[in-house]
Amino acid sequence: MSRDDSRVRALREVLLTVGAALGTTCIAVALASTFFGVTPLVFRSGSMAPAVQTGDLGIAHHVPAGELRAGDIVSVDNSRGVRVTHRVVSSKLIGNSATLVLKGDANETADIEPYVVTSADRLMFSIPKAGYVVTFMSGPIGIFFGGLLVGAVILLLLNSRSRRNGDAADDSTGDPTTGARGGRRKAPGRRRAERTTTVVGMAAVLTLPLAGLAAGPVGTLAAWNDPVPVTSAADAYTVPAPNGDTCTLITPGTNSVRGVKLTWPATVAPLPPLSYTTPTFTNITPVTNAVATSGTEQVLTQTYNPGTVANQNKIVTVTDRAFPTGVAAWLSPITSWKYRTGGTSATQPVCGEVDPPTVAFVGPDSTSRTVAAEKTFITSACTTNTVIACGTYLDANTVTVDYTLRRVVSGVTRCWAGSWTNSAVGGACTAFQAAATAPSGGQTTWYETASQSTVYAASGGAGVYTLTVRATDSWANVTTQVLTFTLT
Amino acid sequence: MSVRLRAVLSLGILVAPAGVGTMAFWTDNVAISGATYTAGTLNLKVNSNDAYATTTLAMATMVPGNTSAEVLTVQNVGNVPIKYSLQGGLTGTDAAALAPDLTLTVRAGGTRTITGTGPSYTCTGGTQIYNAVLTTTTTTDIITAAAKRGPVAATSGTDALCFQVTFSATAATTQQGKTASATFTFVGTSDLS
Repeated sequence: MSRDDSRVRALREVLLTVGAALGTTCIAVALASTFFGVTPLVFRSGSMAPAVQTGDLGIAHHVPAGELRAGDIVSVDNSRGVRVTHRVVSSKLIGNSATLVLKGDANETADIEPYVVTSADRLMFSIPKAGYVVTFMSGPIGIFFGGLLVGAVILLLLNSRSRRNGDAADDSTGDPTTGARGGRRKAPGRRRAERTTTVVGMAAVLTLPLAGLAAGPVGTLAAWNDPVPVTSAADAYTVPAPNGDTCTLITPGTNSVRGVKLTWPATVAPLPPLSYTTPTFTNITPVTNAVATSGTEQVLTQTYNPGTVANQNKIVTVTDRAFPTGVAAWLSPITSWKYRTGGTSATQPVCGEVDPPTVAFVGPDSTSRTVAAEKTFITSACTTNTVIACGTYLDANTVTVDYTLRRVVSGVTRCWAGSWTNSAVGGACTAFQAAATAPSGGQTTWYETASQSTVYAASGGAGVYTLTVRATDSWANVTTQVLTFTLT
Repeated sequence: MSVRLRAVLSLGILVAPAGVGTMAFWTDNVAISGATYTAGTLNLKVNSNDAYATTTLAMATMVPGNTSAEVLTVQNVGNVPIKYSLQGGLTGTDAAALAPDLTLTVRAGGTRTITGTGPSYTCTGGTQIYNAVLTTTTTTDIITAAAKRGPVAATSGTDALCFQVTFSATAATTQQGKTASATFTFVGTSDLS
């Protein structure tokens, strides 16, 4: 037996013994993992530094939530399924589940999300840098060497078995490299068997590492997310009505063509460009009727033949509306203008206004009173003591006010027409013009004089009264107000 | 001990690593919420911002047929490679009303181009990766987590996406004055695999 042979044997003995010890330890850890809830953790980031560094291997023990205390280092899955190992800042136990606030020692703030757990892996201790070894062993290269080891062991077992079959002598002293003692005495059949097992073993040695590579776990490492929000407004345009009530006469005009120009500012970029519908009109037959852009203004031109009697002395109402160019369905609100044509072919038209008068009640008001109290109230509220009703109105032009007064007493509806009459068929009463005082402070008072005792009768006057007042200005703009009051 | 017993026991080494794939014993630990990393920092920016409220893509006075576009450049300023997904939708008062009339188109590598006479920017060129009506769910996938873009290289890697929002040419007149806000969230994930 050569010296080399004994060296090889000694090396094999050492390798086998060390391998057996490591293998037994690994089996023990695996068993502990399975039966005692012990979990090894590889730290892939330094958020727990300096207590635990990147690459350390931690050993954690699975414990119920109730045993967790502030200061423990625990490993839990977050809502994304990512395992986070941080120190407990606070633990709030409700029933058997705890709400944990965790913070990495190296982090400035606690984790954003609280963790609700019924149990967690609590770190018992950590082994510096061992995580790198475990990760390496878990990787393709580790798997390769693992397969190599399996193949080598299988080869060893097959070899020793075939030798035992061929030689009853102590196999531990036999020379595995040459089969020196038994080889020569082997029968041809046995030698073939030995060759076969050797070939199978060699094949295993070669194929197992490759199989290990193919089946090896793909190292998908968890990661944290960094969300970046981008916001952008999407606001639909509100198409504006033609803005402005600028009405100018076309001067000088002729006895065959007169008219008005209605102007408003043109839209300015970046606002969407606008187009305008063909203007509508009333009471006349126009010669021209169109909207055009003139510099920074939109100009609606409407002309008519003043010599045509049908066009004379008419209040003309013009309307128009805008829409985004190319989008005819997106119409703006309507803008209206008014003008009055002259009474002769030689008379220029007059620009008017479209604002209706404002009208208000002073007395009576909407408060319910006895008949006597109502009369007293009206007498004090209205400056003209003999009235049955009064109020105010306001307009830029001349206004006429008329009214109807209706009452329902004991289920009978009647209208006021100098006396209470039955003319209230269908509830419509005849309107009477109210009187008006001279304008004062921009406001004018309307009133109706009649005997208070006749209108609001002391006997049989209790009921529901409806006073309707209609104000019409000289441009035929109308406002109607209705007041209902109850007398007892 | 016999050779065979020790040989078999040595196979025990394989037990622990073998558990990785099947038992998920080896798990990752990541630092979060503005953490100080020793292994790396994860930092995604869009057009140099950690949160970007854009007026370029916005339409303040949109009318039917309008489009707006902007190239959003995803930048990786951290020191690890990043992959990212993208979610988005419409929020705000009239999100539900406007959503059916607003279409989002995303072209990877596209450029912003003005078309026609009006202020109507569109995305041209590149590869169209998304084209659908916006929803009122801001977590609607535009780039799914399963089909993340990237990796965007660490430190200075970029990825340019051209976003185009189109307001339907047939939007009803009742949409006038409706307001909403489109929200897109780029979710960067460290690409350590």
